[in-house]
Amino acid sequence: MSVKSDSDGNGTGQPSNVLVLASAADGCEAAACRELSETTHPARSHVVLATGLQSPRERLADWEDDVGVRPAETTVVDLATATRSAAASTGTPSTGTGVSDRWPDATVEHVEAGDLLGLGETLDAALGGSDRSTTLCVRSVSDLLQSADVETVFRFLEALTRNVDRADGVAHYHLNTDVHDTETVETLAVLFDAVVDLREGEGADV
Amino acid sequence: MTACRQGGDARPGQVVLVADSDPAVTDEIADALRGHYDVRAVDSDEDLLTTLDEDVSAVLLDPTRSGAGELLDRLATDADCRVAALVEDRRESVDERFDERVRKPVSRSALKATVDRLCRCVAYRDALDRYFALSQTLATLDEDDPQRERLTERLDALEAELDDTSAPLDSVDVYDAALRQQ
Repeated sequence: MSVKSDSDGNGTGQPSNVLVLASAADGCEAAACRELSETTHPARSHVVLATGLQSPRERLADWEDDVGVRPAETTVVDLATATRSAAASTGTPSTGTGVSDRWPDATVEHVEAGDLLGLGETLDAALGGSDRSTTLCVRSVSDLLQSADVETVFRFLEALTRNVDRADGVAHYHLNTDVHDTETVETLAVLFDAVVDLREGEGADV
Repeated sequence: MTACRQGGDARPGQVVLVADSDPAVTDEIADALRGHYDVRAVDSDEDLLTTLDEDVSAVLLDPTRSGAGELLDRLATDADCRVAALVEDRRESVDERFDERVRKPVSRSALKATVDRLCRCVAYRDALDRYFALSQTLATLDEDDPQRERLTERLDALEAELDDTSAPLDSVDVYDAALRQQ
């Protein structure tokens, strides 16, 4: 794993916005997610999980497998993608709690496919919606690139990373390097305080 | 009175077009903004459209004046410009294409705050477009390309410009400016 960091966004030595580069074949993405989510112990924090291809239920199950600690508060922001409708369109209330019996307190917000303005405003409300330290995990930027071109996603992420800074939150963003060319990855990488590269052969372990 | 009057100690790139139905109100607003922006005060219908060009960041327009609809049509295709309605009553219903309202008689502080916000939205988006273009160019260069250092410095300067421009904007304005269709 290699780490490139050019600044910390919040003046605490901890980068506010971290891009996580991984190939689907890599096994250490869960470990990176866990490490990046433990800036404040999840049991004391508000965790916001933005999901695209995965359903909220799958996303919560993955969080439980990857991190293993139940956050004090959990919000899932569910962005419909070209290949998966948000649960809202299948009759589930657009906002609510109790997505799964195992997560009765999780709040789920749904956003229509391609509605990045709605996604931004929903994430913003989640980032400012708790007195606890907030950790945002976006999985994934690759899902965003399914429904919008790289320039639009770039502009969206500039605004989002800015608003994470303002909310004194920390966030990490997963990008699957298998499905994007190097130029796209490098273009987006400038937006982040640090880049964690989990691909094999991309540098020494840190 | 000339139909279109340029003036003021212009802040480069921040041009504001003022067009009330009452020339006296147009003058009052233009006077309040001069020294802060490059102000174009428009009285005649003929000059209303010809005065609008790509340099204009914000328009203050009386929705009841003749030619207002035509100007809004032109603005609808231009994401680089914001438009505020000059209204008698804040509850007055106006075309949805207006970004904001300014109530008459205008308070100078409220007027400046509104124009500042609209111009910052435009400036933030403009800087963001340049930031993307530069990031994309940088991504095509080899690690040892001699241009890399110069472009990286420009990128750092643009990041500072984005921070400075967006600082007073709320997050809704930031998202709206970043994502508005051109």
